[in-house]
Amino acid sequence: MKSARMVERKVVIPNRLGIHARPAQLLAQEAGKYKARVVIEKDGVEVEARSILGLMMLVAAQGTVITVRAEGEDAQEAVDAIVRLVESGFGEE
Amino acid sequence: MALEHSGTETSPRERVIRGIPASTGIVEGTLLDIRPESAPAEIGVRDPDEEKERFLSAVDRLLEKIRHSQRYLTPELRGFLVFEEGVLRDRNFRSRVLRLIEAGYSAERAVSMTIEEFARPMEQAEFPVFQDRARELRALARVLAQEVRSGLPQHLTPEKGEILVSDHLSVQEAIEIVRNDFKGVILTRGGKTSHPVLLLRDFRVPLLIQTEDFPEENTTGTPAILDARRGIVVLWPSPQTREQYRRILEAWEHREAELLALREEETSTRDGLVVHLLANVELPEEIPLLKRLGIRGVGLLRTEMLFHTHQGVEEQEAFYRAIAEDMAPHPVTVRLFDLGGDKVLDLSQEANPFLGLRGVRVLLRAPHLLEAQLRAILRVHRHTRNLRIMIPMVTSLEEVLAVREILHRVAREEGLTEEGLPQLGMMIETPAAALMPDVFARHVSFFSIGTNDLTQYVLAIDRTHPILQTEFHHLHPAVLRLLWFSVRRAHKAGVWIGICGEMASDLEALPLLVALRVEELSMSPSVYLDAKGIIHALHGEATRNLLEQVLQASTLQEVRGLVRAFYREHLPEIAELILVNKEDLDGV
Repeated sequence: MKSARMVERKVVIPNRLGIHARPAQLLAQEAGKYKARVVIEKDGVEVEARSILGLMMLVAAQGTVITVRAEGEDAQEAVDAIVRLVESGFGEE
Repeated sequence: MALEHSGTETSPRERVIRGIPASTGIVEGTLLDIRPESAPAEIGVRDPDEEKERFLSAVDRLLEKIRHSQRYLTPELRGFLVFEEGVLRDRNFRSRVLRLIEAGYSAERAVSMTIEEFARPMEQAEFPVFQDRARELRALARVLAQEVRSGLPQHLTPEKGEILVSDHLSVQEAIEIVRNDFKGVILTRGGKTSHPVLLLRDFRVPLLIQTEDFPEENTTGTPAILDARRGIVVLWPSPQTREQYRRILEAWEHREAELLALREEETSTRDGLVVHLLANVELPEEIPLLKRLGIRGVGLLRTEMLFHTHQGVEEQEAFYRAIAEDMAPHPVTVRLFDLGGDKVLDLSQEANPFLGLRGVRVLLRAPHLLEAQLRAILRVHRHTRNLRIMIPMVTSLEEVLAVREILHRVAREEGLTEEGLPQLGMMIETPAAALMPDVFARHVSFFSIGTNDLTQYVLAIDRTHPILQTEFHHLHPAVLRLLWFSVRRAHKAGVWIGICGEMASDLEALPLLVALRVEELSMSPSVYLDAKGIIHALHGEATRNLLEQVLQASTLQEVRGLVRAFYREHLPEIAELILVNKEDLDGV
């Protein structure tokens, strides 16, 4: 078994409403596709990326910087996919 | 305030608590208090394994309900329910609740503590979108706690107390209360037009809502007199108070016996003006009561309850058939699913749900739902011939035409001819509809005025607004003028018109409704006998004079003053029985 890899990237929330209900849903769904354990951090608070409640509790509004961190064999893919999703503004303006 | 316990044989001192009467009647008994506070706040009271089971099965039941509701919705509407589902499936949420339960908290407490933990930072954020989500989370926590509680059926039997105390109720709980013959219900919060409240009232369960100073601590076992006529509950009543109530009850029962003797008679005024009195109904279980009272027809059959549990055509059919066959040959008016606003659908993304997707607007966007309902109605009507169909929340002619078109198509598929169709009517509950009966008249067979919503839209007051309750009133002169306008337009166009809203159950408003010459009043069965008695005692001509005065009135206060004076002049004995107290408490 490969040793666990840790990957992290920072990303700015671009959409007007931030990570509210629907984006949280999308992000949690995306994180669920990977074996790696993914967490999101904002201002020192860290939550499970698979938990919509946790994500919303961060109150990540437009312009906030969040850190996407993952650990596990597909950590790189997971982090890249989530950063892509965030950068796309979750398909919102 | 704590009840005084003197430690000797003497009972604590009598205490009177006021609330809003939501159904009439007076009963004496001991209290059974199921408010969530009564779920132990301290830890280690309940068995963690049982509590886990209660929590997990409540989540499953709720998910099942959500899944059910989604089946017939368009993708657009379905999105609104996805959030709730996502929260319930959130493993982080579940594991936190389970951890608290393991630490010894009750399932209800664990749910509300966990939701609070997530909701608080969202509420404190200065972004409205997060604050809204925080509110939704709390609502979800309440629903879930309710679901957890409904897994405790032993709560709802009257063995430990015959008068139930809760903060609010689910419809399922209300049904259980009726089935188990509770004497009365006190809801420390509870909205006047919420479904469980309407249901309890229809079953004539004495009911008091929004009591302000009800003791915070659990009151199970407290002796009490619930006087839903005056809108009070007396805790620890003194012997004198008991005696006084015994006398009042006697007089009341006497009057009821007199009115029941009139059951076979048509309802008409002394000068022969006939008014058809029908009932608002939600469940087949209510029909025996209607028959006992001699009520000839259902003017409003609410169907929203079916939406959660019985959406299939066959399931709906069984429901309509049970009621239609029981009522035949008298008419049963089925209101198509009236979703949205404050009912059933949580369209939480809407800034103004009452101005958003409601009634026919939802139906036309969820055609599967509409078709299934129409099909079930047609299949029953084919045999019973006594159903009518009523469209809710109409604002434009196109909506009526669209429903008609679907109705005709479904009828063709079912092999029904034009003549075999039920009457199609519509609600008048928006100012738009109220201003245009002549336009709609060419396409519908009847109108029915929903006064709750019409009042809300005319006065621009949210009918569920907690602070504006006293200003929200269907006797506001603006509402009365619009009613007068609508009724005349409908009659001129040759279409009959009825009232099925709250106003039809308001005995104070009754002389005005008689004066308006509406053909049909559909009311709560609980006021039927009183309404009949009042109409029998009225003179149609005298009510016309009252109406003329009232249409010139400037304020709600003035209207109520005129009505009060009318009652005192023309029906002094009845005025005594129905106007006392309730109005005194309103302070008008």
